[in-house]
Amino acid sequence: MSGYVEGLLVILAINVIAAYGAFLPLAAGQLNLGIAGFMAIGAYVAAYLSNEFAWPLALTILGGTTAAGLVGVLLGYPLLRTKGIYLVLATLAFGELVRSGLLNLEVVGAAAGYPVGRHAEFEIVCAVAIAATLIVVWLYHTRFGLGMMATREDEIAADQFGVDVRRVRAVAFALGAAMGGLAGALYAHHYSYIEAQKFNVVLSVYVAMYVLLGGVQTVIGPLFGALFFTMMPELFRIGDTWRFVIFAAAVILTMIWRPEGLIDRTLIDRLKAWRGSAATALGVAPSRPR
Amino acid sequence: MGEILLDVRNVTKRFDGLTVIDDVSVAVDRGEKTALLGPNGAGKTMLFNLISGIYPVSEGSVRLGMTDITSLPSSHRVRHGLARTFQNIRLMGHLTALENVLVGQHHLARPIFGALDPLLFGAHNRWKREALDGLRAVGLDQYAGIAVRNLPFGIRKQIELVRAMLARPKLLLLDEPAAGLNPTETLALRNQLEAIATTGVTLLVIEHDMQFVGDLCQRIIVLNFGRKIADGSPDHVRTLPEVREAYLGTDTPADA
Repeated sequence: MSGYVEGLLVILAINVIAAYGAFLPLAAGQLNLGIAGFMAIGAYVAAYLSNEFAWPLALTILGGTTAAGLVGVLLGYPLLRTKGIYLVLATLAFGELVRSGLLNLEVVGAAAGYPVGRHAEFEIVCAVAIAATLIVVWLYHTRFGLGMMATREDEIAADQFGVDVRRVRAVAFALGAAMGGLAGALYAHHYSYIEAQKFNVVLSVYVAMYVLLGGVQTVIGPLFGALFFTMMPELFRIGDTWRFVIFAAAVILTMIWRPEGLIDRTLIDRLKAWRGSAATALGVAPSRPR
Repeated sequence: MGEILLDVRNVTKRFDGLTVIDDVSVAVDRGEKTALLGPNGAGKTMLFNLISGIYPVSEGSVRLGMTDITSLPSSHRVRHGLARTFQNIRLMGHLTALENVLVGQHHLARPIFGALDPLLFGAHNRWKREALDGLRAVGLDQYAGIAVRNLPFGIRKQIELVRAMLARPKLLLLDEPAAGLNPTETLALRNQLEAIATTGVTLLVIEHDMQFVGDLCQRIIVLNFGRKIADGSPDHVRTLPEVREAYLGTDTPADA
């Protein structure tokens, strides 16, 4: 595999994990615009454990993930008292707080950045991304996943049938934070160098865009969103310096044509119906409703 | 008099200076079918919301069976046998009919392992089987895989009832179950509710269709301006001047 493709796949893998980090709270109806903050926590904790304590790679990544998850737990309950745009602003502020905090933290190099001793190979990053995707897919199909969707769709009705709306949101938020931390830890170990400025608002917005453009209604939406965002600018390289203009136009058009995201439930239903009718035509029984 | 299942005692609800429920007491016996009537804005839905915990009461108490549920979190009340439907159908629009009714069983699942049960995979999960059976019992299994927002009004109302029944309630609060239904659907609904009642479920129904109420319920409670103004058999309530006044806005007796 060429270095270019490998490099692109690593970015995609990290973007997919970060996207699922933003997806989990969104699946429960909460937009987290501070995902870069959680990625930064994951990246710096993993790097610190690696540099200062020489922990093995698996443990530093786990450490970074756990640290971001714990911050998510601590933040979840108080933050989720706020709603809608206020929650978005609160998470945004959190992300900036982390970034500016790290920018002044001398032990991890402050503004000079922080080199990371251990390296995570391409294969490791991709394998972790696949595992993370499978975990989210599984989670989405559990009763907890149903609780998240029910909360997003109608929190009062969900509450009346015993869904602990606040807990579902807090858990989804914390799991999303951990997922962001995982993405950050992998980033740190793959690129062997991190700096606080990298984990800025633009990154948070991008990650949120992967999910919103991919679609929050299905669990594969974020995967497609991340794919779209990572690959499109590459495809538009033929447009040379205009490529980001073309890309931005593509994003706007997507939002006009598919306001609920690239992949929504209606699309999935149509695909199922199409598969069903194709199967019937072939004399095979159509699939049962799921 | 049988055993009291729902005991609403001296309940008052105020929003700032506005009193929307004023010292209302309602006791419903186990197995009874009771209607809650009143003009628009009388506080019927508010009383449901106070019973199910969407709003806390300002004064008074609510008991369900042996349990005082007055200060119980709203999401815990379903565990004590309380399920409801809503005036403006509150289903999860993007979710399928099956997923919607699966939400009805939510409180029956065990805390940790129940939450991690991958019930939306495969066809053999017991929750899923039970939910599909619930839909099949009312002839709705064909819609199981369809997002409910794409389904017609009458079907959505039925799905809401299936969801409430899957919570295995002792007391079912129905907020205008017959509103918007045609006569055939209304008759089918009445038969369905009669069948539900014979299984021992207690019904408290908000409804404007007097024919429907008279046929289904043994007892009628009438609210007006947040106060209880009548309580008794349909025949008795119909003759009360204050009830006529509440509905017609006059104390001149009209023909019965």
